[in-house]
Amino acid sequence: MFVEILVLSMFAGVAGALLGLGGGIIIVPALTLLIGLPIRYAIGASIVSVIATSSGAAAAYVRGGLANLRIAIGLEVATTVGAVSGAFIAGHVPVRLLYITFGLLLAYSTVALLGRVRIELPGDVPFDPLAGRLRFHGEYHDQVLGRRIAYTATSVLPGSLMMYVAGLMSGLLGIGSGLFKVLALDVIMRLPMKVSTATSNFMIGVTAAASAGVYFSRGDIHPLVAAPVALGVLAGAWSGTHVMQRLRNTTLRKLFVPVLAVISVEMILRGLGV
Amino acid sequence: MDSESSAVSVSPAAPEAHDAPDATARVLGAVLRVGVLISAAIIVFGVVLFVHRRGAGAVLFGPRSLPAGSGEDPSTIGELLDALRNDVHVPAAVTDIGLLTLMVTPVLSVVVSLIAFARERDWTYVVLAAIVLGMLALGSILGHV
Repeated sequence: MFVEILVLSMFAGVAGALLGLGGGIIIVPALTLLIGLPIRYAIGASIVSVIATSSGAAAAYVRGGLANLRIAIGLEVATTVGAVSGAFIAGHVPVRLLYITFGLLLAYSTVALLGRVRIELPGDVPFDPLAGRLRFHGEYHDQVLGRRIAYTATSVLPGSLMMYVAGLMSGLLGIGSGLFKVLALDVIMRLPMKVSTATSNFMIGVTAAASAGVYFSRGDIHPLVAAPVALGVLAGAWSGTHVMQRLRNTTLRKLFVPVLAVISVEMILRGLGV
Repeated sequence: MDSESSAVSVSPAAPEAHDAPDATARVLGAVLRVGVLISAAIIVFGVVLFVHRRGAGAVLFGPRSLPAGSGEDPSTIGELLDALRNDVHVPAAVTDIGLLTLMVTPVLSVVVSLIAFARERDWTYVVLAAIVLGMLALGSILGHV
């Protein structure tokens, strides 16, 4: 069991580091369906996976200048407020309606992202005074294009709203906040895709850390399940960061779109009770 | 043009602000790296202890079922310390300490960011990072209620 989980987690780590996700969307079905573990240990392991992906990938992305610290901390305010308000209203809102709502939101985002699949760099974006005031700009060295790319965020308020939804979702359902973060950064705020996934990677660990203690004290984090997940995901995320810097922004989006599409369908189906 | 160049030379913060992100990124990268390596080392040590007690076959390639219930698991800091002191469930306790170290790492990165922003005298971001830490604290308190 240990070795199987370790190998599965490596794949989750690579995917998470590339796409800015925590890997929970891979870990939970893999552990429940393939390994046959109870759902509570799978969800506990997915929290560990999110934190391992985030810390493992962000260590490289922060140094490489791909993860933007100001954008991450600034938007993490919206996300953590969302997570806490999600925890407040959890139990008072119908879960199936949530799945349908979030699923439809993701389906809409899939279409929006499809229109952007061929865009390598955002180019000049509409000026947003708030982005200027918060210094939501930066530059990174693009290994594929072989030059430094300067970028500036736009639509900071709508992006923050999406970040709030990302936090709300992780507070209410415990999954998928990475998806919404990448969408907020890429589709709404129009950052380069690499900066979006790297910055999301930095953020998801902070969001997950808020609820990790709860899962731990509930006993949902089983050492012999969480240990191979943590080690496998860390190794996978570390290698994923090396792969990501060699990929085009367009390639990353092409990998992201099918993942997004599958999850939105999965969520809508779950909401409908299929 | 004139006013721009004078603004740059008058403001002492400008050159600092230009250099600072790299230094901050280096420190932050180092903190994340060290956190990850230490937690991974402790987790590996825990797994080695599991293997030592139960045998490599049982732990690494064992059947697809969980050994014992979760009752075996120390799940609070107090229980962890008790487990180590009384020499019971030591492999689980050591592994859990490694996992907890991993979980603390992202929080630590926000603390490091806050300190870095303070050194840059970027008070807006000191406040924003403090709000994030406050929300993390609030979230964990709410979760325990």
